Amino acid sequence: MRIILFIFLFTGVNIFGQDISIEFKNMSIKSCLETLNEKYKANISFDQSMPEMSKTVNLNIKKSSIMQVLKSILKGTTLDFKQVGVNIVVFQKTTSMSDSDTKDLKMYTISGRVLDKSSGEALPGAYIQIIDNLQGIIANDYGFYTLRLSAGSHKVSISYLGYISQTEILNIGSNKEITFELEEDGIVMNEVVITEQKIKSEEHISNLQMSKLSVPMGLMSKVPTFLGESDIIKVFQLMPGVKRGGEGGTSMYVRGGASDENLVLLDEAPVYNAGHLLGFLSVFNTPALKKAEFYKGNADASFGGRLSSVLDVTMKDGNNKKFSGYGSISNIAANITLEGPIIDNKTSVIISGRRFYLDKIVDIFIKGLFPYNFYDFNIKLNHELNKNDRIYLSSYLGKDILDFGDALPADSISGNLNGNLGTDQGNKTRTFRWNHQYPNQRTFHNITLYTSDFNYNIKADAINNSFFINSSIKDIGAKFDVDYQANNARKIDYGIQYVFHRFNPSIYNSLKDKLEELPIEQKKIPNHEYNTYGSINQEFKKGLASTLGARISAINIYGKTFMQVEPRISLRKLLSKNHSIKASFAKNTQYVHLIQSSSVALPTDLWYPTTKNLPPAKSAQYSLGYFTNIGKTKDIQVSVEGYYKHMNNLVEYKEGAVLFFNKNIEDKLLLGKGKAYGAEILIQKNTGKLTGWIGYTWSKALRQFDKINNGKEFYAKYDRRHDLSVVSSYALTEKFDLNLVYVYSTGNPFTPITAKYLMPSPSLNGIDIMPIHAARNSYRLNYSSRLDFDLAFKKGKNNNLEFHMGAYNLLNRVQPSRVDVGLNKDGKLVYREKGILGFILSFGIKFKI
Amino acid sequence: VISPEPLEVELPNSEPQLVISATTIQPFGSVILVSRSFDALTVKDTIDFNSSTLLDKILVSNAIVEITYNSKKIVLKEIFRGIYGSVELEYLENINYDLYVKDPSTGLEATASTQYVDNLVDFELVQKNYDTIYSFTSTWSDESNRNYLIASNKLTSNLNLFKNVDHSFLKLFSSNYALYDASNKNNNGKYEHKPFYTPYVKGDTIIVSLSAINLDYYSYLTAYKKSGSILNQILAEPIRTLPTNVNNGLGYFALYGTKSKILILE
Repeated sequence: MRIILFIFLFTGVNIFGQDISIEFKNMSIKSCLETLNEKYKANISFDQSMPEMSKTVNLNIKKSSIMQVLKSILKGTTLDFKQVGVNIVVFQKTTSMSDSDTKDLKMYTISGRVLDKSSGEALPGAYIQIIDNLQGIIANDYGFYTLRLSAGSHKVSISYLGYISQTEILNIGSNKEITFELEEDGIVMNEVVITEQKIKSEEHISNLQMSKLSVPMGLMSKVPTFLGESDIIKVFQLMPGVKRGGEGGTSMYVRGGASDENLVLLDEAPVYNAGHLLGFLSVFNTPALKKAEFYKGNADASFGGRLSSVLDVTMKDGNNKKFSGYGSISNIAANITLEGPIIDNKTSVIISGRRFYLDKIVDIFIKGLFPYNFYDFNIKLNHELNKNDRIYLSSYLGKDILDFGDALPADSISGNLNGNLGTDQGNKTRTFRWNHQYPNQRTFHNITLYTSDFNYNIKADAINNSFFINSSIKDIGAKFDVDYQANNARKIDYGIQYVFHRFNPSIYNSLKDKLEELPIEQKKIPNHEYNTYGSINQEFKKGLASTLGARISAINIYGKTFMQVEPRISLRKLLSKNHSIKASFAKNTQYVHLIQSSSVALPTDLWYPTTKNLPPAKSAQYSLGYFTNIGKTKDIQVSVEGYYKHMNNLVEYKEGAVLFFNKNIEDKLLLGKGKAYGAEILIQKNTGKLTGWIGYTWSKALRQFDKINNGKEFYAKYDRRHDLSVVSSYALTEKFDLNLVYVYSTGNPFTPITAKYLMPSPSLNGIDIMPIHAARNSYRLNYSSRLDFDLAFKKGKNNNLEFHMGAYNLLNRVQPSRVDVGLNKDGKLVYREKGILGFILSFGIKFKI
Repeated sequence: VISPEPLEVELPNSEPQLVISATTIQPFGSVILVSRSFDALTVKDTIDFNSSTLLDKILVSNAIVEITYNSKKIVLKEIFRGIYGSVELEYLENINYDLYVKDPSTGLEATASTQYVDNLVDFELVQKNYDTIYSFTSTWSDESNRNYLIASNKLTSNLNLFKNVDHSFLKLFSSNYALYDASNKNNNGKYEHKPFYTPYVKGDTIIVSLSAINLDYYSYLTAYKKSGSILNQILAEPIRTLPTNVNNGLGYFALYGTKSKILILE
């Protein structure tokens, strides 16, 4: 790792330190500059329309620096140049951006939004670059931007991944509000995309944010996943630093963290359980989503409350120009999304629904054999009050239902269970937002109000017994966020947040006599969370930039307050146009724990808040990364990141603790600590005929609890030394796409029974066979290796019909998830590693209306 | 959907260890069961104790079993295969009893130390008989400051130590002993061991016992009982390591007094 970084750090090309010899004979200044760019990769930017560009020069220069060469070329003209980072900008002296001149020039504020031309959808994170000086700014989550420009003419470029970039000349003489509209790029192989990619690649190098994963939504929906259902969480699980849990599951273990350490947000409302179908599919219905960004390290200070990561998912706003619709049908589910204007260019709506219907298919053959289904429903309205104010209202509703009804055989357990058993769980979120751009100022604010509900219920009826278990969380939150673009080099963000949480960790209700000993109800636990946060992004000279931020979080429960200061610091140094290094440090605090068994997989999650006996979990993470672009057109983004993270107040159950029917859960828990470190490589290509990525992670994750494993350190549940994933989408022709996923990972650690012994029961009526376990997680399962594919055939006008055929685990290799003891073919007892899923064929249709 | 064949793998076995278990059997008093741990692949869930080969592998015969207390060493004799006892052993409170065990066939040695806890608690037994089952209820008042107790019922007509070996499932429904923590004195010293129902045949004998034990043994038995509970096995964090007071071995060495009532069922 150390050697790799060392090599990368010293491969950056630096033209400024070179002496060159060159001859120009009757060449225009424009040609001279182009020659320097071509021959010496000088990164000189200039406006070709400047009048003196056609002036001819005759020069023969020996062993001079690039600066001296430029001085000679521009001598006697009104042109000048300036070094900006690793670039050189040539400009007309009268509209120069030199520091001395800039002070004398009046600066104006240009603000507005970046939108999709056909749908009016805001493009969050769109990149706006001033060609004069190559300064760039990023539109915020609502597509709003603010620029500071001097009087005169300026060329700007606006780009967004998956859209055709646009160059505009702005004549500035006053404050202005300008809306940029970009056209979606339907053909991914043209030259414009290469230009767009070039700028996007520069953002990859120059953006201060590291440890962030993003995949274009178009590519997201192409990655082959379980039974043909595209799933954003499954896609992020294929990226370095994000480990999947059990086979096919949607739980994520990020940089050595646990599955409860990920903040999952849908339009800013937290989603407590992001999994459906016992975790096989996530709750996110991909067609209804605009973007999904994953922060596995130093997230913005406005995010907090979890130790390891943030998955920030945004729903589409809805097309405000025309009605459209799209949907899909797969082996197991169908979904449809409809969107359109209510008032043209002002108000729009999007509605999306998905229903899992495997139960209905199975019913055709054997009624009631598979009594499980789920559904998701998303709706979002947005309305432009005026050109500076916009409101959004969005909601998600999802539910899983498992109802055996009369299908469960009688006498199965207690001898009197008459077969009425069921469980359901679901999430509900609602978000209201109001954006306001202060006219002719550089300030933007957003107010968010949200609620989030998660609950699960288990009910069982028997002849003489009946019980009901309920656990739920309800959040009501409010946020006020402000963005202030002080100038093109400095941005200040700050905000406040309040959340009321109400936890019902578990409520048991026994309706009949036999279970009367169960507690009827446990107390509900309310608490109040307060956060304030802010950060300053600053670009310095010589390619240096920093983000200094902090979050102050506090929680009040039963009159006791816990407060933490969480610094967030990022640094970036541009080594050249295509190379940068970044470093970051972040502290995080988590005021809620997901209490899980280390071995028993239950369909329910028990979220429990911080209390005086259960202090908040804390983490600190240090990251260092190297970023570069490679390839002929520099369209392949490469990042290498290393990290070290330590965590305190992690929670595990005591051995022997019963997971249900606990009157006092806090007594059953142990507190411990953890550490994790590793290195990640991501090579990503988002445009062209071939898109996809290669991700590799080397990592270690350890835990230490005084009362587990005799106090000795042990490997965390999903500690895996190596994880490799290759994801590719190849446009075979205009009609055929071939999408492949290959995954290799080291086996998970586990605790085997290595021997047994006999122990007579105290009443001497029998003898038990007791297991002898090895040290906690001291053995490993075999490695996993899996190949999935999806072949897409497009048909119809504008390819509005797609047929998909795919396979999960094409090689039908077992993905070891557990070890049991069984008889082999020779009738001998042996250990066997088993998985969950084998080869599964899938078919699907996607359509656009 | 096609399921792949499971992968057959090998796991290293841990070395055999001596396993010590001490209990009170009327009329022998305290006896020590000495056995060895065995390969996890020897059996799956149950053991057929008619297999003498297996018993030979597990139970330790001809072991050296010695208890030292008050500078006196008692050598225990093998009274049944793997079970050792001695009528010479005295039961005295507040002194250390040091156990030494050596398995001559493997050379394994283990030691343990404990103190005897006398039972000063007597109990009353209420019995009811129905057509084919009997019920027994034990009640007692603890005025002797004995904080930890174990109450058990056993059908002696079926007293075959190695019968009914079943690791898990039936135990929930045939539980016939209970542990009592009287340290909090919440019950004003009044306790009741709830009815124990047993099918019987005429002439069967029931021994109902109450023993006082120390906190460490109580903790061990609590963990032991949980590890065998069906509820725990399905819905609880597994107990991976039972507590032990045996050095270089497993199990528990405890000496305790027992009060028993013997009934012959009519």
